[in-house]
Amino acid sequence: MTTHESTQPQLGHLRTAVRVVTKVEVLIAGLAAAMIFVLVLLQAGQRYLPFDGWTWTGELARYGLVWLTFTAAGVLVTRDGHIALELVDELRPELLVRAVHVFALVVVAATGAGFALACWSLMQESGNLTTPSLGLPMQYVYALPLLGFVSTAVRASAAAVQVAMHGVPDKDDSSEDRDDSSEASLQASGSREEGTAS
Amino acid sequence: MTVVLLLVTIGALLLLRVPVAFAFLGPALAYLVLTGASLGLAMRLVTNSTASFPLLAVPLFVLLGVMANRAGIADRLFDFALALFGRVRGGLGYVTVGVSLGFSWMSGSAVADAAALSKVEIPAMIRNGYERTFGLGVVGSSALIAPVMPPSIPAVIYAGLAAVSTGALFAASVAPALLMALGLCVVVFFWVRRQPEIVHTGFSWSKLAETSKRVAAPLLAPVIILGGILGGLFTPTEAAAVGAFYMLVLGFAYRTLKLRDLPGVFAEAVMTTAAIMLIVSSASILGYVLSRERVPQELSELVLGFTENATVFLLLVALLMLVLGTVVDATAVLVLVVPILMPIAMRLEVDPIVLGVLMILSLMIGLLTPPVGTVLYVLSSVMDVPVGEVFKGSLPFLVPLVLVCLLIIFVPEFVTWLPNQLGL
Repeated sequence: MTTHESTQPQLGHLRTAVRVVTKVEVLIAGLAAAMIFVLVLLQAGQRYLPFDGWTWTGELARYGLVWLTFTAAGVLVTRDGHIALELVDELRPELLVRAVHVFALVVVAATGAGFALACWSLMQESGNLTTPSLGLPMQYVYALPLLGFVSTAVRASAAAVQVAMHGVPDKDDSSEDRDDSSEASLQASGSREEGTAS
Repeated sequence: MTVVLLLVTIGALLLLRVPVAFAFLGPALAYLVLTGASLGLAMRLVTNSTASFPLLAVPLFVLLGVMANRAGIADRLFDFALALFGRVRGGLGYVTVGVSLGFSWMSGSAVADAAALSKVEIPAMIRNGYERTFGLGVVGSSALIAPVMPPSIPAVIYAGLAAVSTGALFAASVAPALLMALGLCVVVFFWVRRQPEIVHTGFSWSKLAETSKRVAAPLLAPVIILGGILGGLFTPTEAAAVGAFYMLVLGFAYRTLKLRDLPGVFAEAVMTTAAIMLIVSSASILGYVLSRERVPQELSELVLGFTENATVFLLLVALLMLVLGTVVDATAVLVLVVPILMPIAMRLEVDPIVLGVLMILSLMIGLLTPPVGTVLYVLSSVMDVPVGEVFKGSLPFLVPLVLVCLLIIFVPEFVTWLPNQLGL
């Protein structure tokens, strides 16, 4: 058995693990989006109802946006979904493109690690602070961004190693762990559009 | 010196393919660490800017666009416009502009618009004798109406950054967006006159009546969203949620959306939102660093030393946005530039609403120009044609778009008229 063959089952387990973690992260971010949708609808509706509004709906929706944003940050690294200038992708030789990709991923990993540390530091500084309406401990609020930045750092590091060893994957290959439903629509318009405000 | 180093680092990282959000966040974090600020401050700045009620409109408008796409609204609009313009020579060109205009009331993304509509419109045009280059150009340029016409995601982001009313910015964008559509129709008119071989697609009252029924309910969406905002019934964020809910109901009613599709819909919206919001979240930390280094004040002195004329300033802004828009994503440019330009605009008494509309429109033109025009690449990828052909087709259509920019600069009253009338 060659070394390559012996690493296959391990890689298989790793891929499964990544897929499960991705599904969990997308699920949390999706739930946050659904929560924002419902809470803002409630807030719009309660203005026309004959009882006092719930002040916590706006607060929870705002924190929902924080959770959505940072939880999905890691998944976007794996899917190459972050908005970036892709000018270098057209360059030759391939080794140069590979080196640039690895460099970019290392920067992302370092920034992710730095912000994970910053998040941890903020959780320590928050102490017994709670949110104004819900009384939710601020440490809980920062927990999901912490996980998101840790995921970003780990995924970017793994991707850097993978790109360094095997080269830059095709756009379609980087989406191996996409859920089926979103895949169809993304394929239709190319992954470049995954995250653009325009 | 420190800030020059910071900006050069950001530029270099962007060129070296570091994602925009991380190219902003990384150097800003390094700056805070090197200047002895607490690490927690960096995270507090980032989360505080994200936890903003007006910015909740971003995921909700993205969701609205995704739902409108999945509900097949674009196809209904296309059928209706085709029935309406069937008798007109070159009708499919007007159809394309009309569908983009209609769809822009529900979607704030040019890229999504181009991707969704090109697959239907360009093959239809080729079948009816139109040149493919023309089809690519008219679809690409029409798609630019979406991020200008409310609900516009860049407008929500600009409003958040510049602390102006999103409702006022939405109202101010209506006239320029309509003028864009009119300008594109003028180009179609002149192009059609030189193409005797294109055929008519036919017209029948029964077809028009049938397709009208099919678009009646979708066309209520902009009435609900904009009517709600401008009538004071909802905030823009609430209107986005109500609009998305309405689109969900339509999708279920038309059976184009099913309960089992919802996880996919939310997953798609989440990924788009996260990529945008990560860049927006970097705004506060970058803004903090820039103001600590007195960049807005010093740049303000520099610009005011060069000119104290508001029109010249707006011309320079438009030029800067046109150039930056060709290489950097619109959100990134807004995040980087708005905190710097706002103090200058204030000193020159430039209306921030006019500045916002001008910046957004100029940036959007960049989506259709090399080297990084996203719409160019999407059309090239969807239609499997060279990027150069898409750009060649788009060139004539860029003329009216630039003219609208100039009109905003020289006659800003046409932008501020509607918000003033509505008391916004």
